[in-house]
Amino acid sequence: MSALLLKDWYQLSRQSKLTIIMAAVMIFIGVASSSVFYAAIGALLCVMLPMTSLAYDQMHHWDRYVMGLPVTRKDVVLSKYVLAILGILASTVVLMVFGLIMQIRGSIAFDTILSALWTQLAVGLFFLSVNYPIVIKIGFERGRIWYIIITMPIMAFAGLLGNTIVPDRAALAVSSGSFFVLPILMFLVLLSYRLSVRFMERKEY
Amino acid sequence: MDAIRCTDLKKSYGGFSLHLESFVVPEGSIVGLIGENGAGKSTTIRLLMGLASADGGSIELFGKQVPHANVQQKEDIGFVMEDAWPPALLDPVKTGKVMARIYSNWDSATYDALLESLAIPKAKPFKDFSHGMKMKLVLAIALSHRAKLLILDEPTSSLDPVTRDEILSILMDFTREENHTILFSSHILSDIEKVCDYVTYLHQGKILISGEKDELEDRYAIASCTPGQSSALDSERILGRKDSPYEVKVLMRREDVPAFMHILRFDLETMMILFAQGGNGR
Repeated sequence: MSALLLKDWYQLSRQSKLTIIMAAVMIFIGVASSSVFYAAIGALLCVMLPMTSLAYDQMHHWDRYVMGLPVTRKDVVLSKYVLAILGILASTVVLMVFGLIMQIRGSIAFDTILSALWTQLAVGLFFLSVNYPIVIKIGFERGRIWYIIITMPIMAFAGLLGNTIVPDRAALAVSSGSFFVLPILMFLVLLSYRLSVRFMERKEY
Repeated sequence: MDAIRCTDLKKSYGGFSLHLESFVVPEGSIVGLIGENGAGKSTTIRLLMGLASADGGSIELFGKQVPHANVQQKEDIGFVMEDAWPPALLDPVKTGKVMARIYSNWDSATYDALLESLAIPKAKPFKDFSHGMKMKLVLAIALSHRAKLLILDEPTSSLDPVTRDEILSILMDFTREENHTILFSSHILSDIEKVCDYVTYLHQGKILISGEKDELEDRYAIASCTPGQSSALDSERILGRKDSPYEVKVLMRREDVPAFMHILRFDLETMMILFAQGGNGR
């Protein structure tokens, strides 16, 4: 699996410089303006990176080529999930660093940072869980419409949370709910992975 | 031992049906898989490589029965498949680093030597390669992990004659080792004639002819006569026939050719064309 991750790393470092910069800027704006909406966009961009790698694989026929190599289909799926989780963790680290800087400067409440952290984690894991099986099952091209249908409500929800609820209360709600939300999301990721493996093992090229 | 043995292998989809009663690739041989577009060549290769699952029958690779090539066996198989390419954004050096982690027998020295000898640019991403260059890199990968079997689907199609010749030379070099085997699918029959020991002809998903290339020439004859003379032919003995205003060309078993016919030079392309036209004697 390390070979597949290395390949994705090389690919993303060439393909997605702009997306990485955009994600960092969004997270920065999110923290600076105490808006979970921007943090969620930053998180989504991070999760979208491996998704674009999946799309690129399909577009340039690596997905067929890898089937001839001595790797299992399970490994192919696992590498994509690991990459996505690494993307989410990377965005979490960036968000934490920005948040800490802001807190040291006294321009942001700790609860707001916590809220942004949980939001981006939750959005990232949910997006991963729902979209990956679809893209693996029907391909990125055909899955694009589902991608939009699923992504838009998430963004709208994040926007609603960030703009209509008083930030401190939102932070409190999200952070206190996280003890329940996180295990649910982890279960969802696991379920999604199992489903993706099943789809991949039945897929014909 | 046979490198590949398929028995009663079946696959159907979208109105097409493949049924290989017995298909064998002996170890140490180069077997050409020929047939018109849609005859089942790529489907056979997809089944062997595990890109699709068979509806029935069995596949043996290196004497072991498997549904299709598994991880262990793929270590010993180099391949070229239709619409299957290495990472588009990676240059050959980075691709080599990835392959070194994939194949346990990866031989970096061989890979580097092949990049040099085939004049493959090392710093250019794969997506910017010409088709010929892409094919050369795929072959370089296939030849750099001490594979015993090469499964090649149309490796020379849409290449210029010089590149084709270069690739055929590489394949000939590969088979200098006694246990090295190649399954080579192509509809460029001159390539098959140049390199293959055995030929299997697929037509509408079934094997019509299979055997040693030289033996086919001994077994079958391509013969011609005038349209007037053709009425004397026994239609039950004609395997394939093509009529033109001035000549009737037929494919028959050599012993069935009547004395009044003129025997032409045997070549796989004419044989395939005549077979595809049909005849009562099949």
